[in-house]
Amino acid sequence: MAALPKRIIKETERLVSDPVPGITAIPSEDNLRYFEVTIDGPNHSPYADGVFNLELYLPDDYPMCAPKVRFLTKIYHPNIDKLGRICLDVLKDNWSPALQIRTILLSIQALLGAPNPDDPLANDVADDWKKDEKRAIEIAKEWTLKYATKKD
Amino acid sequence: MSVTKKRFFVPKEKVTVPSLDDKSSVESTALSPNTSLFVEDDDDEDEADNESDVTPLPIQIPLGQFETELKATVGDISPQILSYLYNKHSNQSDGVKQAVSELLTCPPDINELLPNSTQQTESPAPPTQKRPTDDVNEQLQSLSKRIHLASQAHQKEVAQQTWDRYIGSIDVQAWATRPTFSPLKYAEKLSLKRLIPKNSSMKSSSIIRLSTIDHYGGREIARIPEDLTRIFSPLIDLDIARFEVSVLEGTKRRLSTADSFLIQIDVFLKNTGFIKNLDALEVKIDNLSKHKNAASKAAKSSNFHATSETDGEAALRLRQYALSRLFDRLRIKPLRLNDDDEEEENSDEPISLDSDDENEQVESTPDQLNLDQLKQFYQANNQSKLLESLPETTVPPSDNFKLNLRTYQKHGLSWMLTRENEISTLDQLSSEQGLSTQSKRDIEENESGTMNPLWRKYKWPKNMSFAVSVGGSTQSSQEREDEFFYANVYNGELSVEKPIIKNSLRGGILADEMGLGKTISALALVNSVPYDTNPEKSNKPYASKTTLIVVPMSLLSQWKQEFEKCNNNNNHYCKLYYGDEIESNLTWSLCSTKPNAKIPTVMITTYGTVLNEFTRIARARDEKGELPPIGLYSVKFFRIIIDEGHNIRNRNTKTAKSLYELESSRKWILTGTPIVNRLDDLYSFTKFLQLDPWSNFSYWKTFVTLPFEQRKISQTLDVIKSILEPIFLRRTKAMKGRDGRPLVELPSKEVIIEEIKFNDQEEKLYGYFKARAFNSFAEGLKSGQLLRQYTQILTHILRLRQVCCHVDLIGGAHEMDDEIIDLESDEDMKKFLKSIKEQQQNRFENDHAVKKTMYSLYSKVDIENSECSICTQSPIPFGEMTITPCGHSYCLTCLLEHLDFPTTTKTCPNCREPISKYQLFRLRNQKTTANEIRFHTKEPKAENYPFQLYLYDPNRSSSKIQALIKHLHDIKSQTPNSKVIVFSQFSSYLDIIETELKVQQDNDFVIYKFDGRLNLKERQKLLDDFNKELSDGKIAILLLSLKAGGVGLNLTTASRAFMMDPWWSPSIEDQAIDRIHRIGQNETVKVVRFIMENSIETKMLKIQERKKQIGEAVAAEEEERRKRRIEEIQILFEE
Repeated sequence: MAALPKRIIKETERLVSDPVPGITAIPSEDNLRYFEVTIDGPNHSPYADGVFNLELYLPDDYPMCAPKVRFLTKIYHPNIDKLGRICLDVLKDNWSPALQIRTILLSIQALLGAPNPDDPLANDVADDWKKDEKRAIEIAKEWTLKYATKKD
Repeated sequence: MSVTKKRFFVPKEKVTVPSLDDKSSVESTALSPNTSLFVEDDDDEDEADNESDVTPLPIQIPLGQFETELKATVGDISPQILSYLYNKHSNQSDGVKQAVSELLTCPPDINELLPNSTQQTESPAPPTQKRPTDDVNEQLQSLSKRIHLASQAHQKEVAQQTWDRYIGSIDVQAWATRPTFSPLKYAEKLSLKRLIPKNSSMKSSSIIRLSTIDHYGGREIARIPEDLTRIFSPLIDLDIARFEVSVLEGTKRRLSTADSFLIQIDVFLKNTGFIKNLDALEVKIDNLSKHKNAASKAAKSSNFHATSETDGEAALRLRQYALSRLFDRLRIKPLRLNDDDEEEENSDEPISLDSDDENEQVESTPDQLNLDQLKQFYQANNQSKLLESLPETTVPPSDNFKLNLRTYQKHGLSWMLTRENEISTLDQLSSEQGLSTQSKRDIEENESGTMNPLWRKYKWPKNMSFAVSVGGSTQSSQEREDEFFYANVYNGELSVEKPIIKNSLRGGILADEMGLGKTISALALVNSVPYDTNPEKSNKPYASKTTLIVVPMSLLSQWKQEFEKCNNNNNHYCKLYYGDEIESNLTWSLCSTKPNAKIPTVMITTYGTVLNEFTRIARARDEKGELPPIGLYSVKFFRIIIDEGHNIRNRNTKTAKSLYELESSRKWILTGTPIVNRLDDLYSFTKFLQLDPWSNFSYWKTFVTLPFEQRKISQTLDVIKSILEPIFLRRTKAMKGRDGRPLVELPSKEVIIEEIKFNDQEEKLYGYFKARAFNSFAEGLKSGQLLRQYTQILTHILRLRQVCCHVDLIGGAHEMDDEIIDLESDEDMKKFLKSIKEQQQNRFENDHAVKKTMYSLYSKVDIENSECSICTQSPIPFGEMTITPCGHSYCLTCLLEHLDFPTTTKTCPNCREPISKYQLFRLRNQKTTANEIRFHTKEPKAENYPFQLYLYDPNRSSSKIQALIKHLHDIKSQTPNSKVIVFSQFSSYLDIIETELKVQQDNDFVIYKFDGRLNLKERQKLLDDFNKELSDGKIAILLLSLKAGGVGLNLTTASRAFMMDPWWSPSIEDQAIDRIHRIGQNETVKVVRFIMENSIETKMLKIQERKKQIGEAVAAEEEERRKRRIEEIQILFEE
């Protein structure tokens, strides 16, 4: 495997030394391109008080192409499908090498706060969301409580 | 009848000659007819004259009485013969007796006595019968007759000191020539009798008859097969062999004519056939060639020599013929030169000395050695008893020399001192105890020389002669102890003692592999024996204190430096003889006898300087052919050392000739590659070293070139080996010393091939040229004239290679320096080049737009606080700094990677503004004034800036150069203060690289460029500067032309190298890498070879591989090389 580019080392160091509030990203010991991520659900959102686990992988071409990110925790969200895949422009066409792990995770956190049922990934969820937004938010809250709450 | 002429005599026992000086044996022995090879006498009267001394009083016998007495004894004879005999013998008391004996032993030729030919002793046959081709035969015949006579005369004396030794037996059928009185008995002895009828044709001149042995002198009874008689006759005539004949099978009845019976012939070689005076032999052969030279130059030698040699030659030929056939018949094979047990596989028929056609120009196709043969040759030269016994402790006196030598270098010094015959010095320097007696003995043994390669060693066979095997007493004379005898296969000389070539030559060839420190070894020698302590007189003023060293220009100052590095004696100094420093006469400065004269110990000059002087004065030769005493030719040096000696390998070049004529007492050649591709390369060395007789080309040709062409490879290599062994030393890095460790342990070497992709423009250009090249190739293939189009195809190939390096190499200012390209006529291509440049999209509309954008960007450049958002480097290195029109800064490599990445949109990573490669700005290290900015931007608040922006042209720099720059940045950040070499074979490419690197920044890279355009002082300064230690975190980069810097330079301060372009021959690249991978290198050497992906360069790698496999130097034949060339071209063009 190619040596780890300086940029990744730098980003990792900064994620550890200067973490973003509500987000943690810890590189795996076996593979420094693989991160275990947690994102706190944003306040005033159906996901508040939930802690969502994600995985993030930096492909060899990073930063020329975007990192691969996936929710591990089940989540009820029109832009996130059953497998945890995320529909977010900066993870796809709008990726720019100027973006970083930190900014991407912030974008995902923001996505939780602002679901966009008009650009859905999970069609059934998006449909629910459009038909009955209140009911959808309820389900989201239930799921968050069920799957994303730490059981102390 | 009184024509004076010379004749050939069989060499006699030396014992009869009162002590003679060996070297002058020809002259001195000539005075003594009994012992000389060439005797002057008056026709056939020799013996008669001798005997007439006994009765000095002349008594005339009346003709009538003479006739009656004679006829009473021998019967009727012709009047001519009668009158001849009468004239000859009538004035002696026993004239009749004389006449009878002459008539019986050697009847005079009646034709000779005919009136019209009485004066011509040379042509015994009458003109009517004479055919031109018989001429030689006749001479031979008369010659062998005379030899026969002469030998008879002395047989008695000689017999007392003879020995002979059994050499073999032949069983053969004999035919009775006349009836016998009784049946032959088993084991009956017969004798061989040689008959030489006076008036006979060539064939019958070798008549041998078998006779019975009885009290009456025997009676002829039979003959033996003709092929044997032809072999035996010269052996008898020249008194080389003795024969014993025994009847193998008794016959039941008495023989009638033409009855056959079986006999065994035992052959004994006689001591008279063994020549003892080897010097005489040498001189004789020498004279032989001298004679030929002399003949062309108006003979210097006397008539005496001129005529005697033809006899000598003829005798040698007869002898050689007879002996080699005899050995064939007896199945006696020579032993291998260096192995006492093994017989030579194929003892080819030796080449006759007479077959040499003198014309040197008619050289057949140059024979080249293949790799295996070379290896064989080198290996053969590695082993030597002498080398083993030489001490490994020899060091030059520390007063003179302050460096430490490696073990093998000390060993080498011992050898060199031995070669210079400085045994006492060697003794002093080798160790405190001095040399062991054993080593001394070995050295002395070696002193006596090595076996002459023209000779072969034979083992005496067991005595299986009839007498011995039947159990009878050994009738033959005492058995000798020796186990071996020697025969010269080229002229049939025999010897019981080992024939030795004595070489008076002082010097030799030091051919250690590159990087083993030949320079230091040579300087160690100079410092061990700096002066001639025992100067001999010479015809030129003798610079007995000076060693002249001839080197290629690029090494001149390196040699001087090395000298100064090791010199520890204030009185010793080194002078360069070069450029303006030359002198018209060196006598004054080198040969001064004043005690305080400052005479240089070492004078270093270049091949070019020698050549210049030589060409300048060569026309002014005096009538003796001597060069006028000018410059280097004005003195005789103590010692001459030539470095990179393969420079003189071609004997026809002026460089080689100019060096042959320099004079010195001792001569050394240093070279890492003694054979470049032909065995004949070695000839020039022997010529320079004056290694007689090999320095005579016709000699060399006869014994090396011709046999090699006839594919007698191992035989030729054996000859070469024995020529060179005493004067040749080669060690390789891989060789192991006495302690079993490799001579040199170098740090490891890592060579990486980095494949690079073309950029857009390169891709298009490459496609264009590739199509053209393929067309041309296909045409050539179709018409079968591939090689005729060779140049054209080469040009195409060159174009492709140029595109791989840099587009600008094609045409224009950067046209290739050394290859012919007819670009002017290529309108088509010009158009294409132009169109490509115009096609580029996304450009600024015009120059005005460029400037408008560019000047607006100045205020947005903040070098110190810049950060590349792609690689997060901060600040961005000056040379990488690239500004987009939207005002964002990136590293150039990062940004280009982003823009070239297939899936991304071509936008600015920071602001997503569309951007293009053709709209980027870079920084240059020049100032920009506020005024300038104000002028373009109309901004009143402009400032001065310490840099200058310019529009980036993505196609200006080649992909390879980009890759190089990236590597250099990596090196700079990982190992600052390090040194890097960049090789290319195109010096114009180095120019481009230089410009590109200089644009980068002056902060990080210190750039040096070494190519053929630098003069000596510049070169030296440049190398000095480059080798200086860095401490400021920069890296030093040396751009080195493969041609100018491939050899000799020592650049071990660098451990990284980049090969910008591949070369056809892998060895050239290896040699370049060896500049840094050699003694003195302490770090792992890393080399990156840039190769364009899927291009001609990848194919070139294939060819390199191939060359490595089949051997660099291609096989002998033109046909074969042709085939390989075609194959190589085909490899280049296969898809």
